Amino acid sequence: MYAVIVGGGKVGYYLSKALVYEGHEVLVLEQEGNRAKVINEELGSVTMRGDGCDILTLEKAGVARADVVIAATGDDEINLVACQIAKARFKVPRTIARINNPKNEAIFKKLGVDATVSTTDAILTRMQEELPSESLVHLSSLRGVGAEVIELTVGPGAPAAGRTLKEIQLPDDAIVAMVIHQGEGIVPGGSTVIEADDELVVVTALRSEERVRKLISGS
Amino acid sequence: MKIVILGLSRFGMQFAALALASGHQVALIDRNPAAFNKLPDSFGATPVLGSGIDEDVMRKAGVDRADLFVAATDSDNTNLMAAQVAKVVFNIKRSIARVHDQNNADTFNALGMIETICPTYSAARALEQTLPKG
Repeated sequence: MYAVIVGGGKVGYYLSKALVYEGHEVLVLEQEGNRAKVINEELGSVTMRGDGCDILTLEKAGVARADVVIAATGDDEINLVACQIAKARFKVPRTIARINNPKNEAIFKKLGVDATVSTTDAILTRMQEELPSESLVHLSSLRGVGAEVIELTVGPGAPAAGRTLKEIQLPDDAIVAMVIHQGEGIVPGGSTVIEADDELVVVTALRSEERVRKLISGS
Repeated sequence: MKIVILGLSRFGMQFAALALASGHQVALIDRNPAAFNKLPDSFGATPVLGSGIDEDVMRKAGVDRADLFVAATDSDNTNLMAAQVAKVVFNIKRSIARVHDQNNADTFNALGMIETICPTYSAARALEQTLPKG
C-alpha cells in the first residue's frame, strides 16, 4: 500500500513509523525543514518538504498513485483541504483526516472525507474507560442516528437492583440489550430481575441517556 | 442584502467598505480583538469576535440569515473550510472564499459548492490585458 501522510508532527511521525514497520510505502509531507530532517534520519528517506495543500507538491509526491492520504496535522482546515484536493484532483480512493474539534466530524463527512479520527474524542473515551469510579461508560457513539450504546453497573442500593425490567419502566427509546450477571451474558425480557452488581448494556436515544442512568444507577 | 465577512484583511475591509457604501448590511468576524481597532468609529459593520470556522461564532454573526458569506482571512485553507461550513451547515445561498493559490481556486470552483476569488490571478490577468498583442 502507498500511503501519503500530510504533517510530520507527533501523530504523523508515529503513524508513518508504524506503517513503515508494517512494510508499507510511506511518504510524509512536512513543511518544516528540521522536522523533516529528524524523521528522515530515523525512518530513512520518507519525508518530502512541502505543503500538503499545494497541487504541485502533491503531484511531485505521486499522490495520484496513492492508496490512501492521511491528513494528520493539528489544523482541521489544512486536513480538510488536503483530503478534498487529494480526492478531487488526484482521485485518491481513500482519505482520512485527523480532526481536533469533534464538531467537525459531520462536516468533514458531508464534504467528502472518507473517514475522520478525532484525537480529542479518542482521548476522552480512553480516559473515561480508565476512571474506576465511573459506572457509566460510552461504548460507542452512534451520533449520526442520535443514539448511544452505554454500559451501566448496578451498584448495591441502585434503583434498579431487585426489580424486573418491566418495573423499571425505561423510556420507549431505550432498551436493555444485555444483562451481564456473574460473568454470564443474558438477553433479557420484561420479567428478568436486575440484581446488584449486574452490568447492563443499554442502547438509548441520546436525549434519554440521562433518564436511563437515573432509573438504573440512580446517579 | 445581509453579508457576513470573515477576516479583517485588507481585502475583507475593502470589500466591507464598498458593500456598506452600497447600502448592504455587513457583519465582520475576526479572532483578533485588535483587528477591530483599525476600523473608524463611523464604520457601520457589526463586529463579531471569534474563530470563523466555528459554527457557533458563525451563527452569532448571523450566517444562518445572511445572503452572502465571504471568507477573506490571510489563510487559504481557513477560507476554503469556512466557506464550505457556511454552505453545508447554514445552507447559505452564496459563499465565497478568497484564495491566493490559483490551482486551489480552480479545484474548489469545480467542486461547485462555493465560489472562489483569486486576487493574484485577477490582478495578473488585468495587467496582461493592458499589453498590446504579442
